[in-house]
Amino acid sequence: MNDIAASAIAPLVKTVTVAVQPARAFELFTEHMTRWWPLPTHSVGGDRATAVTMPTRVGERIVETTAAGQQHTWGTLTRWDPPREVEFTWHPGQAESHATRVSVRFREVAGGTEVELTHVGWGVRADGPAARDNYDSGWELVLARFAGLVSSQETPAAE
Amino acid sequence: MGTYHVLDALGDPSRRQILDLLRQGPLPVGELAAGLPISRPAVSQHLRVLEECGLVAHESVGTRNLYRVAPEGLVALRQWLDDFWGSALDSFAEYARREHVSRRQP
Repeated sequence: MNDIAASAIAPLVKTVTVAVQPARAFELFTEHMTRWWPLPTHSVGGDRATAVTMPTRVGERIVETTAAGQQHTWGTLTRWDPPREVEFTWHPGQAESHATRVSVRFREVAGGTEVELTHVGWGVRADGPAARDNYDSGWELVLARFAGLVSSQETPAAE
Repeated sequence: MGTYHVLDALGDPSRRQILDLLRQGPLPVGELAAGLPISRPAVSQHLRVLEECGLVAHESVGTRNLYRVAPEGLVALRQWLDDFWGSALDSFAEYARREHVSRRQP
């Protein structure tokens, strides 16, 4: 693989700053997830999705609910440390064995809170390059799982 | 061809396996088929799908075709992931802003 391909599978980090204190940001992010998460485009059920619930106890599941009462598991809470950090496995529309990992950190900055989201697990792991060849942790599996997330409601976009 | 097609293409376990084999270096169809529990025609069909998505490219070397991973395809997928979390966080920031404003108003 060349450098371009290697950077394409590096951990994904996104940040956004909000004008509220960390405790409030953490609360809005976790407790009010249904109110802000873009369900029509970012869910298994698409237009039929009505809610997504983030649990507060490690080991419990993040669950999407549709209008018909169907439930889809997106992942499992692995760290609950308000108001600093929440961490969960991520496998919407896919088996748990194919989960990747997402962590969200809340850090106080001038004017509010910086929210930093890190998504890892598709190729670059802490235990080094050898892990990259582990089929089960391959980035392909991860990317494929996103297909389940969007294919139900999206038609292919022309690019 | 949109990114959603690429993601759909990767939903198939055989195609993921083919990509995994190709990540180690270019291979002809015959050698790919030898390393997989599926027929050579099936491998060819999967390669066609992967190539249409831009994840795999081939070049003719003598009388045979060598298939390889196409980095551009990976970059497009990376961009899709980036947009996915980017729009989710933007949506969160917008919600936090509205909540903040409504709290300050009587």
